[in-house]
Amino acid sequence: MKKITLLTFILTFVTYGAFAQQKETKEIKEKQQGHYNISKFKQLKQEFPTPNSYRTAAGAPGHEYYQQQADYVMDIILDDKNQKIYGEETITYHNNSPDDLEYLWVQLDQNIRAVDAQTGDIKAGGPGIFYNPTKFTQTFLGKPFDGGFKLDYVKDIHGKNLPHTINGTMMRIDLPSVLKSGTKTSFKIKWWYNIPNYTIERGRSGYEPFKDGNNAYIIAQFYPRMAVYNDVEGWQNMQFFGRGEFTLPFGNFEVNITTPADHLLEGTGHILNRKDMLTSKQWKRYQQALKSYDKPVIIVTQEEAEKNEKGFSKKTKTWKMKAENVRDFAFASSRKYILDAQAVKLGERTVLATSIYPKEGNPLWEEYSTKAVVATIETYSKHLFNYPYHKAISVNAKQQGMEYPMICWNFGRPKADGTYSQRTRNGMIGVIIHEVGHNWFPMIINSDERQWGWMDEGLNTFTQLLAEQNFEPGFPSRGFPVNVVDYMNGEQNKIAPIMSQHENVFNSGANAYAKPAAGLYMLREVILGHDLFDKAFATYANRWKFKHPTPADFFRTMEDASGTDLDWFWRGWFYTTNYNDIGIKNVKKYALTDKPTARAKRMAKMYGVDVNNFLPALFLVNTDSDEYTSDMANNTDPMNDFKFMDDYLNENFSVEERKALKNTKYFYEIVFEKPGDLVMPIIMEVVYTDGTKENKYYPAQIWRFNDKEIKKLFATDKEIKEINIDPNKLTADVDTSNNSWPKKKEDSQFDEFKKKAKH
Amino acid sequence: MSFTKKLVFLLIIPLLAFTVHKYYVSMTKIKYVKEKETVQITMRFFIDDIEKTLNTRFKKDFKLATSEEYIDTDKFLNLYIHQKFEYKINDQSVKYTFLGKEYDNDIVFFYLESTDIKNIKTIEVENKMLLELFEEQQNFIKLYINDQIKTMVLMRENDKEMLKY
Repeated sequence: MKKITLLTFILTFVTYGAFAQQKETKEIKEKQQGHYNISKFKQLKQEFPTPNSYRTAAGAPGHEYYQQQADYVMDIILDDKNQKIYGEETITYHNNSPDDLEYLWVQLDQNIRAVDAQTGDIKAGGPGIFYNPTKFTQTFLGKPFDGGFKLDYVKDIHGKNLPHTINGTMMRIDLPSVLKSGTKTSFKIKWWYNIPNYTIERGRSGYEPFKDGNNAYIIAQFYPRMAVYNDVEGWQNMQFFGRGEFTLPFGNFEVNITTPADHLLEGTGHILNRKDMLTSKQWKRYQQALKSYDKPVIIVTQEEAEKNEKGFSKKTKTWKMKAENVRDFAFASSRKYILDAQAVKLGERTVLATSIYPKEGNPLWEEYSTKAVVATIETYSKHLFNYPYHKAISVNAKQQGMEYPMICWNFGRPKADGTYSQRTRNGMIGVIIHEVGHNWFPMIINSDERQWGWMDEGLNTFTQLLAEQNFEPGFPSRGFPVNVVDYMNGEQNKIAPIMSQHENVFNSGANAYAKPAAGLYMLREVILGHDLFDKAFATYANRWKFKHPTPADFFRTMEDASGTDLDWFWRGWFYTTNYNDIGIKNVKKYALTDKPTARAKRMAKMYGVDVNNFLPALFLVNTDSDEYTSDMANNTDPMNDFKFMDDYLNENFSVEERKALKNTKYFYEIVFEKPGDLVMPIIMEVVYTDGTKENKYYPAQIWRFNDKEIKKLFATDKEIKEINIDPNKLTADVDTSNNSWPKKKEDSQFDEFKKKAKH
Repeated sequence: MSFTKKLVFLLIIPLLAFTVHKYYVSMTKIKYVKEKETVQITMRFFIDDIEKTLNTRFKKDFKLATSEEYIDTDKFLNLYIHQKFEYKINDQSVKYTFLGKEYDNDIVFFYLESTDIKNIKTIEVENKMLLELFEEQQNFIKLYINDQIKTMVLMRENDKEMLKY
């Protein structure tokens, strides 16, 4: 009999709910329209490409995954006197794709500075604020900077000219015959160009002039490079307009670089004749550095560099470089460079963390640069995979922050008097960790930067945060969710979803760097937890190292390797500009009674059941309602104040067991509101009157049937003093004024400042 | 270094395409407290950007947020803010007082206040701060007036906006 009553009770409840809904719908007079699936938890089947044999549904490379390879043999001359570069290269292109290729596309990135470049033309805007003489002459007097590649020839391996067509920053080469799948071809290009003074012409490469007559060259995008052909884009056909960076196949490089005889050069790959390039003292110090695991060894001292920079040798020397399995090649060269290095142990291997900088970088650089490189190698290796190359170099270059395989340019200099602020120091450490970190994203986990800036910048800004916190706990990292609140709360028509082509986002710094980094931070701290996140993130890195991943490969791997459906998160955080705002609308207290409430009676009547069938039972009464009576205030203990409960417990539990039960006597109905359009988990901190705290986590799926407002009963043995949503600011909640119950009448930041100012 | 050279040098920084991309965003909160008849303004900027701007404009090294910060910094800040930030209520220019500043890591907050504001029917805000130096600068304005929250985004092409209540 008891069982039947319970069954009736449950059945009645369920049907009553359905009935009530029906009734509600009928009251709406105007006929509603239907709609497609608009659930924020709808799977991303339509957004993701269909999995195939190249890329699996699990997010891994498929059994037919392929990638092309481009090998380069180059002779380069750096003409310091005239700031020109001359080059000759033989490119060997391996067609590993299943497709026969009718033509090849080569990237001519220097053409972004060609006189006829489109870069300026696609940029809308009125007059500049002012024009210095150089800029005015270039802009209005018909004497623009003559950048861009000047091609002497494009020939096949037998010396026969190859037909080619230049389209802006790209060049199509028509082969005499189709390049069959599984075959390779070689061809030669000879070129030169004027090296830009990057402190005037902008960009990621060029030279910085010094007052002493020296130049420091940071040289990249200096050779015609193969474009990527793959299963998702065909040939990359997006021009280089300046923001969407590079997409490059892996390959091997043999490069001879001729510089003035008194230059010091560092670059991608092994310097095969390094011993010839250093004095015997410096060579000895270099050998010491290879074994110095605790601190940097200064290999070329400031004193030596200062002497060297006065020489201006007319002679030249040739650096012989070799790099394997890299996607690009870059180098830095100057008379002014100081060099230091420290060894880092990674398993059985030793990696050399290296810095080169002019004396203008000291005393800041000798103190921090190499240490920051070491910290980066350690943290990134721990979270992703061991750094696979033999060295990582940080080059001091004014106003720069740019990455290449094994080498990167980083800003940060003290003032002329040698002093520097904490911000200058932190800015420099931050940029070094960021740029060295780029060795993983995208130099090795080789995503398509031209299409997706966030895939390397966002993932790297996140890992940078981990490395910075490891380098110095409390370091002011930019990737925390709280740092993107202003951006996400901004004007919607000035925000693009993260999943936008990089040229077309409004605010790259927030969109491609901080927001994706904050998203990953949330996944790690809130949604997945460290274990699952770290496993999945490392799985992605290891699956795609030395390969070309796409956004879907990342999203799918993170779900597959963590065993967690995250489609709702990718949809909200990456595919929309939705923002998070969750609050507490109100909290109602409930009391216990053993007498049927009006609600129970109503339901019983509706179904023609005697309400006494429910009994004995406990009912909850809203303490603000008319039904609430003073006797309820006296009978608050469910275990002792109600005889039938007491009997039940005595019948079914031993004295010890009964003691161990939680004496739940406080019942709260919490109404959560969500003015934000993003779905997010609810992180709730409950503070009790006895001062203890408890955290409760409701997964984001709690919002799947109501995107605006939900109720939740919270029962506890202690009285609640206050409830706070997201107290540690982990979810980028844009409005925290609704995050507490009772509403906190906090002094605003403004009032607090005024108070402080008075004292 | 001559002044022109210095100016050139300073102008170029923001034009560079960094891979560590800064975001040029400021936030100004304008709150009308009716019972006190005051308007409270809290501005939030990156210290670096403000420092570069002040150094260029006033040809001094302000060394913000360091122990050697220029002693009269607030005087110059006050001057700069008054040159670049203006607002009107009900078509009338509103005077405001610069109460001071506060640092938090790489962020600086400015506090401004206007008194004797009886009601707000319209408000027009012009915020040209940093726009002269930073091409990408977006100055967000968040207005908490008459129980409504509204947003403006001011930038080079559009450095002024008006709202009606």
